[in-house]
Amino acid sequence: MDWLYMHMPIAGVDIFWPGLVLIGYSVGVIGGFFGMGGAWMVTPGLNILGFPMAFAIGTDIAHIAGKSMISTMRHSKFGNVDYRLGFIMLIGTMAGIELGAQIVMALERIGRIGPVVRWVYVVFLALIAFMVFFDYYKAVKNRNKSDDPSHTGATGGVNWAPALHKINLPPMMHFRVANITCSVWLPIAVSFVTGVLAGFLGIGGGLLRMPALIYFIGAPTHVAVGTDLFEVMISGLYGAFTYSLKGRIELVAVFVMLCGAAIGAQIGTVATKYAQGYGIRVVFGCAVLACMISIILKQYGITTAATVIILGAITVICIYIMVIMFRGAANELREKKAASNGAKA
Amino acid sequence: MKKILLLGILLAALALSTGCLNKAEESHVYQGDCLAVQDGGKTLVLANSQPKLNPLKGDKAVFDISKAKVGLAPEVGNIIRVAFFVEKGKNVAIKVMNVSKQDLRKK
Amino acid sequence: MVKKLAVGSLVTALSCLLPAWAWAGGGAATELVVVADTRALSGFNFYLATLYNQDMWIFATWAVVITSALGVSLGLLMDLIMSHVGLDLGKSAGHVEH
Repeated sequence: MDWLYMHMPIAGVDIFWPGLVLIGYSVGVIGGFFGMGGAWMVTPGLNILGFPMAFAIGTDIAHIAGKSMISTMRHSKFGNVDYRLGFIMLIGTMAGIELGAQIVMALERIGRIGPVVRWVYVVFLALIAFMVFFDYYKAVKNRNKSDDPSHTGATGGVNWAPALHKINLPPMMHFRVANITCSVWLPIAVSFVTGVLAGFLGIGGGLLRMPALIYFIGAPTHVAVGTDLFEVMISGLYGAFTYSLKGRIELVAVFVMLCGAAIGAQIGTVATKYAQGYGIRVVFGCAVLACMISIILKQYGITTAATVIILGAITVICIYIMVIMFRGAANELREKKAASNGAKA
Repeated sequence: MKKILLLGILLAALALSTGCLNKAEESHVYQGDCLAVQDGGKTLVLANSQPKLNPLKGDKAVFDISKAKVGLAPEVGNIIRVAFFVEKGKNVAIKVMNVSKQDLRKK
Repeated sequence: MVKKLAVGSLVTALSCLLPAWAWAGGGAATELVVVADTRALSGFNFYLATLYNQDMWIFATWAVVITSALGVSLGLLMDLIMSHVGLDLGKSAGHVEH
């Protein structure tokens, strides 16, 4: 069974490569389908497959850099980016990523990186699962009131922006595209906090930055999306650079995952055309929970079960999305055929 | 799109040029059991435990580690991996890794 | 709202406490140095690992350049393939992936 294992030249470990391809592919499918990163499963997944934790984080963040380049190019070419806001936030994002990476290296030095990152991930994933299920609960409750099931929003929280804009800490700045005026320290603080999490967990940070841009900074949703995408790209590139410089990256794994992600992203994005209802959110939430359970199992040394659970969960969600896509595409083709037959008759 | 491509090309050119500058000399890797740490930790003597893989002949090899980046301190009996250049017949180490003490797989 | 705040503060407290707890149980701080074993490698793997061993700055620059170049070219290739298949991604909702 040696052929199922691929040697990683830098970390010096042999990795079950079908698992690597599957993780890359699933991240693509899930990222493309839900419109938010699937990076939360990469670091734990790589760690469970056998990567040392620091390598798993560095490899995850580098793979985000590769993936975000194309998504940034594809989606509106920065059309809705508030560049002034984006560049101001870069300060916080980059400083945050660096701090996150430094914490990772410090934890590695004292030999506690594995357990700490795993437990922080457990908390983080529990939060995501809570958000997803809460969102689902709300959506089901308001089903009759809402006409648009696809835009339920990640959080329905209180808008803190007006109160935060009143903080009169100089220098104050006006952001034209987002049409807000606030203290420069507000976007810097927001991007710094998300940057630390991104650098520490090896994620893009969009999951937190997007709602923060809307509810704390007060940016309109479309500007938040564009500006966040810009930040994800920069944070990915800077993260990849700083983790490479610290020697905690496995480029071969990045390449393998990127190949999987490129194919997966197309399938995920096409599937959104045909997706209906809220059921998929529950599947997503369950996948997050499964990932969380597998991290706990890994922490207690039950690695085989952890591997089976995490790979199984992402396989199920991928198959679910692929079924949606193939069924939808087949229906569309059938309808097109019927329409053209009707036109001929 | 054009801006990103331009940036990519610029970065590639930078990397290529710096890469070419460094291509003149290539480092090697040697791994073996530590026989001695001498000169107040400046010199390392390793046994040729894997003669088929190691690039240097002989039963043992001596490395100057005074300028090297050293991780967990090497001790006699530990398995040590060294990345080094050969400079004027001397093995000058760049990085020293203590394989025995540092099992990254457990992290 | 109160529930959300409670969950938020619990998460923050846990995130702060966990590293502190880990720190308390940690050993002596020593930087870990990794030497990639290039002895049995060949081709691109050998090149990467050698670069990793001898110059981290060039390695890091290369890592960023190759990763972004691969990301962009794979994306463009897939766009090309998808347009040949006949599935136009432009029509499939204003979706953003990270």
